[in-house]
Amino acid sequence: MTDILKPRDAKEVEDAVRWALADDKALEVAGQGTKRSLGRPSQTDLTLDLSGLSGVTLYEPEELVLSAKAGTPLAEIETLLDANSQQLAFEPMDYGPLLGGSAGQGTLGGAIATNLSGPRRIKAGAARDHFLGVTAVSGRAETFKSGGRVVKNVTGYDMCKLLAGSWGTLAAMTDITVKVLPKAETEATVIVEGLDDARACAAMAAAMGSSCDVSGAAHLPDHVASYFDGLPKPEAATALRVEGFPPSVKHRKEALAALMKSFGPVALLDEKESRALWRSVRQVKPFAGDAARARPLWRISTAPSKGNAIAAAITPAAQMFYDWAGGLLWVAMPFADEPDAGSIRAAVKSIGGHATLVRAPAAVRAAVDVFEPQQAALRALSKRVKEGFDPKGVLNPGRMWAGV
Amino acid sequence: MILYDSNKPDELDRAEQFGAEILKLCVEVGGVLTGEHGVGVEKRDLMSVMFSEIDLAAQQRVKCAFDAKGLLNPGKVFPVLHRCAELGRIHISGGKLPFPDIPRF
Repeated sequence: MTDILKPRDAKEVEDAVRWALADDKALEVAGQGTKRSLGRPSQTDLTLDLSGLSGVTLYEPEELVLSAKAGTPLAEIETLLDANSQQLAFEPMDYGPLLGGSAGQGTLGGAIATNLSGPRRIKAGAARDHFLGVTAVSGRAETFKSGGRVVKNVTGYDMCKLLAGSWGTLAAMTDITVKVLPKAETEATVIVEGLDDARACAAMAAAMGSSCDVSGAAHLPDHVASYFDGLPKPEAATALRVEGFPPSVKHRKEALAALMKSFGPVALLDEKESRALWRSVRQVKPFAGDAARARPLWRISTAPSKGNAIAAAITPAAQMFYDWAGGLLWVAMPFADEPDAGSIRAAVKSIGGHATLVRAPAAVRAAVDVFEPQQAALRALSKRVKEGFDPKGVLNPGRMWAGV
Repeated sequence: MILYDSNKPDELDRAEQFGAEILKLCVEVGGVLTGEHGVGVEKRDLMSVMFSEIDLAAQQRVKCAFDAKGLLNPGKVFPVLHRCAELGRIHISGGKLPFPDIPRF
């Protein structure tokens, strides 16, 4: 893949897709390409590089709304929001270090197209829940819009929900409007030390069920704890984050610490340590180092109450940790190039959930499913939706599933 | 809330027209047609104030993916009914349907 089309504006995106459609070319849709190695290896002729579509086009802090061109760097948006004490509340996680790049890269379009959501998802929702409006070019080379710039909107079908997490297989987004929210003034983290996985999941469930308004709940088992920043000691840590106004954070962290004493010894992280810890959770730091990079990495989402059961069904030689109060498992397999997809898929199938092979060599990703395999009816529906937007398979064909 | 006297023959129509004017202004200033109850039938014919033919065709193709035979709530949400097969083939230019006077089902 050598040729790159780099449109300068939305009209040129439409022109590029129209040309590809007429010439039977398939396009790899990319922003900065930071997540290029995630998904099935693409069988495309050219790259449609949307990083030229950059810039915030509307930001009204008092209305909690921001619009930007799809290729706008996330870092630029986060800096702008930060200057106004606001943030993207879905806390997009950072795949950079995990996939061999640097931290803090990526575009808004990429975050939305992959529904990239971090530890705060359990409280604030996913990227898709903050995605208000879009203009995009379908694989029919037609520019369409959906949604708007207001939260209360049920006019017509909500195409934003469909495009979030579609990995560029339906349309190339050119303009995106998102909801932005006030940033917490401070944060703190309560650590429960030395719990095994089952007990940790019970502690996280108790914390989430409390009135402490926990905005992050992760369990970092003994064997990976030393990789995380901000922890007082390199031992199993169950981390519970509270965010908000200083008096409220103080009160809630004390209430939470009191509640957690029945599970094990409790330690407290101040704001600086807490930020460092959750940044390393967001970057999946144990599995982002050079030494870990050859090992296939799975991301499994399930019901928080089932996380531990799935973990128990996976080979004990794998390394793993839990986010989302037990509902998200990051699993690094023990051997290079060996994803052991059969046993992972079987565990997820019997217990419930979705597994994504986030990292593996291209040959492995071509040979096994990267995204959760679909049942026949869902597979047929996905194909019909794809055909509606992109009947000739111009945009990221096969990125998620063969034929879609 | 628009109050009217339904005993007077033209008041219902005028109230509905007035409601439509309000919604058009909402869209003009960056708002939307509906925030709670959806489009249904009453706001169906205003969809083209907010969406182009291309926008509406994209939505209807999603409907076709779920409901190829148009069995579910036909006549709601979308101002012009299309056959699903037709949405795949028809070419719309400049936001105008070809042969708009031909009845569509």
